[in-house]
Amino acid sequence: MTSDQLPTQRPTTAPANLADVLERILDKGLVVAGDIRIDLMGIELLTIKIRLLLVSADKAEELGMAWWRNDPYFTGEEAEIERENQRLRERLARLEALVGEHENGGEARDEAGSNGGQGGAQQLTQLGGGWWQLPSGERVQGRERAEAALRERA
Amino acid sequence: MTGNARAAHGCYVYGVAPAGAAVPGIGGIMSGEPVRAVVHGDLQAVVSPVELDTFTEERLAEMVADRDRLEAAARAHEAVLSAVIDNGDLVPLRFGTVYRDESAVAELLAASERTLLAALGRVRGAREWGVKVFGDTDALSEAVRASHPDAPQPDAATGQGTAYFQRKRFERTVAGEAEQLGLAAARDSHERLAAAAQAAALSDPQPPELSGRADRMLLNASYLVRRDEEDTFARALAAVRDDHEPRGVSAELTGPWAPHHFADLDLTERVDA
Repeated sequence: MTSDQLPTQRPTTAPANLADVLERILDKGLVVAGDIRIDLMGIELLTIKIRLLLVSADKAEELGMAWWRNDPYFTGEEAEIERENQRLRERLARLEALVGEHENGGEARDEAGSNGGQGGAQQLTQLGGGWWQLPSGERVQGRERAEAALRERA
Repeated sequence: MTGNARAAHGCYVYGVAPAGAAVPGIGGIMSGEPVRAVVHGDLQAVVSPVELDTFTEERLAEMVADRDRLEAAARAHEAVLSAVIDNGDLVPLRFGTVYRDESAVAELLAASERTLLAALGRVRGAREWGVKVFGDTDALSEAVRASHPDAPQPDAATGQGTAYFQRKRFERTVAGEAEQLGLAAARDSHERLAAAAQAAALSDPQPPELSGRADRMLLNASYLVRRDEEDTFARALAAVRDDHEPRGVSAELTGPWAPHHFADLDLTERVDA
């Protein structure tokens, strides 16, 4: 980030990165009907384009990071592939737990049984940054809290 | 009409301030022409002239595709807001609001006067501060391991079913508890900072590519703090750091910002009676 050109106001303040600035000036603040205004839809699309620009798609892929794909504008094929990957990862984790249970003579039973119940993980969508989305659209930070919220609503 | 004299220019609007507030001597977005005030009643809009053809869909698409130009425009917009809130109150507008001339801006102030005055009242004497809390996964895991003296030894022979799975299970426990420890620290930080602020707002945590830090961002929050309570807020932040930094949870402060998160208002459909 090229924030070194901004003088810091106080010694304890970190320079704002570009994302800090953009999330405020694009997503927050007063909206009025200017004569020439990027309309609301335009601004949302703009925001997503900017996110893609800041985090190149290749880099996101490499890190297995699909946070921007969960945006409503990316609910197409790629998002479905990501959901399928997530389901497969969950299934693999459950199978590993079962194998462990088998080899340990049932020692791991409690662990496999506490995994959010049947299909619980499949209803969660990972949003990135530790946030998970419930089927209701509600967002919860932290995997365990998301699973707990899911159980509560079941 | 000022519009006739400068047909190729529009009026870029940064925000709305109380009438009579000092206007910073600073160049505006795109053209660099000086920022000025458009006054109506008790309100003034902070504006600067821009060339209208900079704001066509095509030109904007070009700008957004060029990170340097986008950053320059975003930072120019933000620099004006910062200069204004150095000395006074401001309700910031979103990026990219342009009117055809100053009389159209005055019409906006007239049409939404009560709503704008109410919005200014809500942020009176206050500015926004950003706090991002990061968790160092290694340090958090270390803190969790230290609390489990019965941990399986990492040098236990692999391949022997029971030892292998016990160790694997323990590492899963550590990872889970480290995450909970980090999130609990972030929640505690937020509660204490919010208590020292007028209002608080949460944003999505940024991934490392945006934050520029390898540590995971656990909290991305904004606080509305009155100027005369900034010392109290700074002390609350110092106390939060003292409590959580030893376990690998650090807090980064940005600001002061215009109160973006606390003026999140859509006036496109609304005209005061």
